[in-house]
Amino acid sequence: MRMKHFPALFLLLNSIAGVILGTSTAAFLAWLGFLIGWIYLRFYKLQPDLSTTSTGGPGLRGDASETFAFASFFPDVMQPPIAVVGDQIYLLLVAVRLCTPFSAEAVASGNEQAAARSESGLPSLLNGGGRSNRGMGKREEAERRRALALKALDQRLNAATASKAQQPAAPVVQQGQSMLGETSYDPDHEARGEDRV
Amino acid sequence: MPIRTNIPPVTRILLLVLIGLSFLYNLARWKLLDGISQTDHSSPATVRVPYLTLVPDVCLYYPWTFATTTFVERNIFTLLISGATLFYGGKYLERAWGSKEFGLFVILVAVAPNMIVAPIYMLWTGIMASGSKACVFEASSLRLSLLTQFLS
Repeated sequence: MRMKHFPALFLLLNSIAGVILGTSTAAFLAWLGFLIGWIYLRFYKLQPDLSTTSTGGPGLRGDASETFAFASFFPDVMQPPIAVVGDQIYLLLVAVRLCTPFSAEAVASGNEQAAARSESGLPSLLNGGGRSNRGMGKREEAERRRALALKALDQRLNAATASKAQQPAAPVVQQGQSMLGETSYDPDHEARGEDRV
Repeated sequence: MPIRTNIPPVTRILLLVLIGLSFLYNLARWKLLDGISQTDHSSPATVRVPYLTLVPDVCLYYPWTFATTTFVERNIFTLLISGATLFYGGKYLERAWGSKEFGLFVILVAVAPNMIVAPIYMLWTGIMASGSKACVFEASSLRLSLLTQFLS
């Protein structure tokens, strides 16, 4: 009995009781409360930003982690149809520009926070925007994070070399690289050896 | 229940509000019932306390009930359940989010569903011309704490 099934279970019990016992008001309020709370947490709540190096500040708006997708609150058998419906509603809202799609960094950072919260590995999912698409595993998640970290390193190195470009002995950019000391990480060809990193 | 555990401030306030309002509500109901039982045979369900709970007919005269009704519980079992949800959920969430965020969240979840449901019920009673109902709910609030428990 996983903790994540509790909200769905509560909704179900309330709905059944609403029909049978006539406590329909409670059922309404339960569903409404669930929706409102989910929408708030998903889109509007300011989350602390863990992935970037900025200190303080309100950080991100909304929780982009895919584990918080609407369909993931319901048991697995019901998730695909709910995901489809949710996707359509989401695309519609984005087209009307009522909600903005999430950037990849937001998704990654949301995932990091979710992973940090639960100490176990979470199944990371492909599509951003909080809708789920069954896909990658934990290894891909780790590699994606590594790529992000390398990108940050690259930018810092670039800034460092740009400040050193004033010196007379300018190092030559080697072949096969666009900037000095570029690190490249190619997860698909990792089997060839680690010396490229 | 050990009272010595450390309860964060907003959770403390909410728990006290819950217990206090429920107590007041039941007190008022008791007194109303006492007054009624001598006159006619109206059932307890029609006893309404419009200044604590949300009664759609007259709710606009008592606007604070949109917030207070979520914290009124009619019987001891739902009171215990709501109390436990607030207690455990609040302990975790208030530490995770900070008091202000948590307070905002609870207020949003307590008030917003009521504001949506009340006009619907008013319309409904207008159409059906049936009796009005009193709404006493922590249900949606429970939902939200459960929802965020999932995040933990």
